Amino acid sequence: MTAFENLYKTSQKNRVLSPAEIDAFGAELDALRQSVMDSVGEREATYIRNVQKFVRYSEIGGRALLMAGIFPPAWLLGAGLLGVSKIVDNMELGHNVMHGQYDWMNDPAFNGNTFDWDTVCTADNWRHTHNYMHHTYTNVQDVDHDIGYGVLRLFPEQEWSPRFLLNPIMAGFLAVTFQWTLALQSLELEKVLHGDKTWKQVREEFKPIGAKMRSKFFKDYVFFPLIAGPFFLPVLTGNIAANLIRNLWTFSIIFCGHFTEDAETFPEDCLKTETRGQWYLRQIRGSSNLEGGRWFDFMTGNLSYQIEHHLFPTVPAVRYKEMSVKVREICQRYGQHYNSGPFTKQFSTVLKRIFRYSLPTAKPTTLAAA
Amino acid sequence: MNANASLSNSKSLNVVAATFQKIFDSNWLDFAVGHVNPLFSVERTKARVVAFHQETPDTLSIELQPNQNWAGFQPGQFVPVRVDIKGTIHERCYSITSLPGADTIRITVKRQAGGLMSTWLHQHLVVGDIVELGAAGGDFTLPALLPEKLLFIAGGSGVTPVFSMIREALKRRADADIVLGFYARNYADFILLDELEALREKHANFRIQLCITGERMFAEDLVGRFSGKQLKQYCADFADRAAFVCGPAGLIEAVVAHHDEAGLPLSKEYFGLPPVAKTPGASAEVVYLKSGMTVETSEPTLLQAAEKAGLKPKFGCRMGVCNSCTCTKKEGVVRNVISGDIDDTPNSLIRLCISEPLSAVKLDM
Repeated sequence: MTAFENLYKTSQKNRVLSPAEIDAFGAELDALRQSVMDSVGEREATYIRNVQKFVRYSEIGGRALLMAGIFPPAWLLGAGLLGVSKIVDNMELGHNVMHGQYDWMNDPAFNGNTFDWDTVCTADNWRHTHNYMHHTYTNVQDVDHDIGYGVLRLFPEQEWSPRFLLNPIMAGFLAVTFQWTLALQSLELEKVLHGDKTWKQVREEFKPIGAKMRSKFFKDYVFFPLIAGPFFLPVLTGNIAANLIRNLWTFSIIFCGHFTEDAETFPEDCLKTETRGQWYLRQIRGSSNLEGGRWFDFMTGNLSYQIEHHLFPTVPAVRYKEMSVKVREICQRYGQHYNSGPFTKQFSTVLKRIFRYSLPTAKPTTLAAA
Repeated sequence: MNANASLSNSKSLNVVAATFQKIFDSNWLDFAVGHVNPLFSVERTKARVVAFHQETPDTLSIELQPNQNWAGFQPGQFVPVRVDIKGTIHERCYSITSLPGADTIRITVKRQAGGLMSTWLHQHLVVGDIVELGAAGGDFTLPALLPEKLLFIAGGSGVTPVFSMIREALKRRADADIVLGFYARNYADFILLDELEALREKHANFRIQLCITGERMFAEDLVGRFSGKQLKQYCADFADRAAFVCGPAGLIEAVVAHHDEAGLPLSKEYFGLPPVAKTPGASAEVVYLKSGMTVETSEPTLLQAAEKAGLKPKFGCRMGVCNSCTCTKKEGVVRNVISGDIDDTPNSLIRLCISEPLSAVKLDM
């Protein structure tokens, strides 16, 4: 079987499409994207400006409350509010703006190429590893570094090695320290383990990352506690808690994006001849949605619509909900499985993967979804 | 306060500012201070609308008070004005009609039929609004040493930079010998004429000749488009004068042809859109501003053009998705090869991998 046939004979939940059907499928999605982008304008500009105001005012409110954090209710509310601010800055604002979703505004404050978010991950590294590598090569084995982030084994196609016995511990560690470990992702430290990279190279690449880490560490763990004077402890612990809240939440949502039960990975060979329509199919098969209300959508940065995000990364994410109706309908007509479910259910299948693939499993002969 | 104390004060101020920048970026500072002073910005030049003056039914002068980032201008230069129209920031350049040294600057905007920015400025701008400005630009200025005799030829709203230059010339030398040939289709288009005539009253050596292509109303005005013969009628010694022309392409081309033939130098500034010349298969000129290169290309996309030119632009998916090749198009017209959309706005972000040049293009790379 050729890689092409392999690719399109995978999960039984998907009908095998002919090349003509795949082209038509792609054309329908192109048309959907164009019709939405034609209507993008003042509403979306106002929306993203309001999101930024929300991030800023909730940060001010959270930090102010933590100054009075000696009172437990103020501490709880402050840490929570600051955590929410960091989540929205990270997801609905930062991630989406950096995709270039708001470049059409011609506003330097929302320029995807120059925008920086309030986490230790440098914007330039993120733009490279996420916008380019992850989105172009989504779920392609040995190319998409997000499959396991170099430290986890989540699919049977990944070769087992004893270090993966630590899967659950590594996952927990990743979750708690997510903003720091994500910042280190572009260093690809696992390559040093295999001798494919030297520490010298790592040290060089680390320079801009280290600079940003120091400045953000200073902001949350030195500056704000200092200006609180005698009340520095609640501010310090509150900032730690807010960062932890953000880490755990972003980890959970992001891991539900591509590691749920029905998510598929693809062999590197498929990239050689992939057409635009096939690229769309791979995005759908490698992604999964989460069902929740409007606030859930907002707090996930609309990654509850991971499928739509992967089909249309440059469309303002606030439009994904409306697009999902049409995407679902197109998938149904073409016999493609639309992977969607409630958060708890989807997340439980991710946990299952973390535990199952910590142990050696037989390498699949065909590319079966796990 | 002695020198040492003030030096250490400024050093500690720099440390404080540097610390602040680590924690709050310039956008955050703009946001915070903006609550009390919306004109404030760390890096961006903003201006408040302080007054309007309706020059003619379709020409509006707008007086703007810029913030501390405004670096001034030379008479004859233009200023890029940026406003948010329906969620997108649009930019157009307007000649400054006031003189340097004042607290405010004035632009005079003619409402163009179907013009997005000019219509919006006329209909929606109110006193107190804040707009953004770019740095003043343009080479259409007076030389440092004022020539003995000057000839200005202006067509319609092309009189705006000329107006500023005439004021400056008369300020430098009250008896400067200046001839202004002012061209328009009809009398309503002679904008700023009352101010020019007031200057003429005060300066004996400043002459104005109105030339109308439509219906003439006064005997002293000339009829018809620019020609060498017509020029001799109102300015026999044109060959002795430093010459400046500004207006629509037709007028400029006529004056350029005349002066070229006579072997005379000429300063010019075009008002109006650049010609969109590219036919399929034809080549387009691409200027890479940061690399200092100009290239003629017939490559289908700007990414391929840059690579062929030996530049190593950042790229990713090469299919318009990942945004890695995004770059600022300073000016020019491009077509999105996936959607077919045309982009002719100055200072807009484009993805090189899916942009086809349709005219001469200037890129910020």
